Amino acid sequence: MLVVDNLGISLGQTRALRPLSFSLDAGETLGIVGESGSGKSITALAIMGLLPEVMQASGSILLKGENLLALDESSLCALRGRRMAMIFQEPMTALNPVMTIGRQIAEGLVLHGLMTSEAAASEAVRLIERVGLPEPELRAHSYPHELSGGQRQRAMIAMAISCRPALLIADEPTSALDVTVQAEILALLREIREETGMGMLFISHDLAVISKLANRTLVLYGGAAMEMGETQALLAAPRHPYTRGLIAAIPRGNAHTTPLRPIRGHVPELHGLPDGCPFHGRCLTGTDLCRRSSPAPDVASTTAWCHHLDGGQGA
Amino acid sequence: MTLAVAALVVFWILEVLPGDPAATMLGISATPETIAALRTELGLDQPPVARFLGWITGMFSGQLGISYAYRVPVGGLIAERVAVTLPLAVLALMLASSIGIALGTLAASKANSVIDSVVMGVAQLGLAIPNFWFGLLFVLLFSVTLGWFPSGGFPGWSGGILPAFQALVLPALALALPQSAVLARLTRSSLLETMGEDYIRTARAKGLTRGQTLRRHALRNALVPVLTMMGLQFSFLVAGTIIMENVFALPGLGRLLVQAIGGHDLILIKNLVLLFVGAAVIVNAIVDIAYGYADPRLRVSRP
Ligand code: SF4
Repeated sequence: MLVVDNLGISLGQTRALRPLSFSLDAGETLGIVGESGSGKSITALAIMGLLPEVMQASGSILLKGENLLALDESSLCALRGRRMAMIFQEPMTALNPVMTIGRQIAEGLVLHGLMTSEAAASEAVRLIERVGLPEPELRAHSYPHELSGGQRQRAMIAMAISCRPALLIADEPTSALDVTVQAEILALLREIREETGMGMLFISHDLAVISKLANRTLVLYGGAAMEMGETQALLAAPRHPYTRGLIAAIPRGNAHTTPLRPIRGHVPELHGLPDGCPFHGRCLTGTDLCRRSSPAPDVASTTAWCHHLDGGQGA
Repeated sequence: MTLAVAALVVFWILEVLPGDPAATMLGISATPETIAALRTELGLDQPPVARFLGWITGMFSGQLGISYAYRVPVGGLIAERVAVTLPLAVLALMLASSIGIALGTLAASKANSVIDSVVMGVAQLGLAIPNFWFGLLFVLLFSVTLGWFPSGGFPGWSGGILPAFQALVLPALALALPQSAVLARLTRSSLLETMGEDYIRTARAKGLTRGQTLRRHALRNALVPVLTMMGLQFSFLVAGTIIMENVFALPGLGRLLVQAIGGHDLILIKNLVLLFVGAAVIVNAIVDIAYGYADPRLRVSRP
């Protein structure tokens, strides 16, 4: 359904994302995990066609066979919200503070010509009920500030699924919520995925959260793919040093610490980033070869991009 | 509260002002005896505290006092002039806000384009030009050359709404233009700032075009600082009406105030000044209500 082929994103001379390819089927969830700056959010924005104007995307993004990168703005507007929708991280700020929840949900339905505004208003109430908010009639007339963070995220989900899109992108949808609410929202997303059969891109810095929802997982670091494969296989037997580091960080329980400590400082050559593995500055197994050339994909139980798979001193 | 403090300050300032209204009224032919007699008649011989209390209590019973110079009740005099100044100020505020917000929105929606530069350039010009100059220019262009509007004077409301309205359009527009320039610049910058918010991205993800997002989602959010500015501008507007009423020879409050000051008509001055303060208080209350309309979050936090 979604085929991303050699998607690259640049900011002037700087490469923000190295050519990246992946695909997603209907009903499937691909988790994208990475730290901030790994390129996961701009990948999502590139698919939605909402990259900041200073950034340039190359390659192709096919949604049901249509290349999104070749479309003009008005065709993209017709697809956004209709065929693909997005949920954002900040439930505090991602809803318009001066518009009622009901109107914000109904807006897309009317905009894409699916319903009259009266029908959309009652559909909004139904959607509010569907995402599990109590007293839906009342909530439809509430403003965002009258809802809790979890309730707002539910409203966000109602808005995103209103037009029954084929693709749902969730960018850190639970990161700003506390743990119990996080679990509720994940359960809701799982239910809705089963119910609608839409494909989902689930983006998070937290591999533990991703493992609860994603069939397959893509690990990004420094704007490049590190490892990709079935979530179970990836968790059970990570092949890439970075993935191993990520997994090692999970059981310790403190979800918000950076998984790995820098070893020889940060990547210095941000401009015109030469080839080479972006992880080499922090990688224990890294060698001179890693600095000079970027690793080719190695397909086994998972696909990993690393010169010294299982061959190094061990991470 | 604000009004009580204002009343006290106004009274005190006029109290320490030099010049004896009785002497001014009688002119150079006055003798000490006639002045003293008039002072008694006007109540000027009583101590200040008594006169202040008399003024305040009179205000509540509708007796504002008799104008020293016009020799008619101040209340009626002011009411007559309010019928000119209030429509003038309201019309000017309406023009300023609609022109300002419309131009600001246009500039923001075409940000960094030629249209944006032209609109903002014109606004810069509007800021630099004082309103009385606009007044004189309009008289020259629309009244003297084209003859569309009267060049001055006011026919009164009894002669029908249209001629009265016509007499107010030019001065209101002249008043409004510099203010609309301020509002246009503010609307533009506030809008562009709002366009960087997260919920704007949400709206775009829904499929709205940039223009739709701007009008449906950003504008109302961007309006709060604009409203604040409109409230602040009101005092400039009042000062503007004083000038404009003189340019266009309108019998409004501003002209009355100028004449009252010239004639040392203390009782008229203090009532007029208090009226202006009262108007500012009312406008602020209206702005507060408007805040609540523009932003529901401000509704709950206000008593
Ligand atoms: S071993 Fe080399 S290629 Fe592999 S992750 Fe480390 S630095 Fe990158």
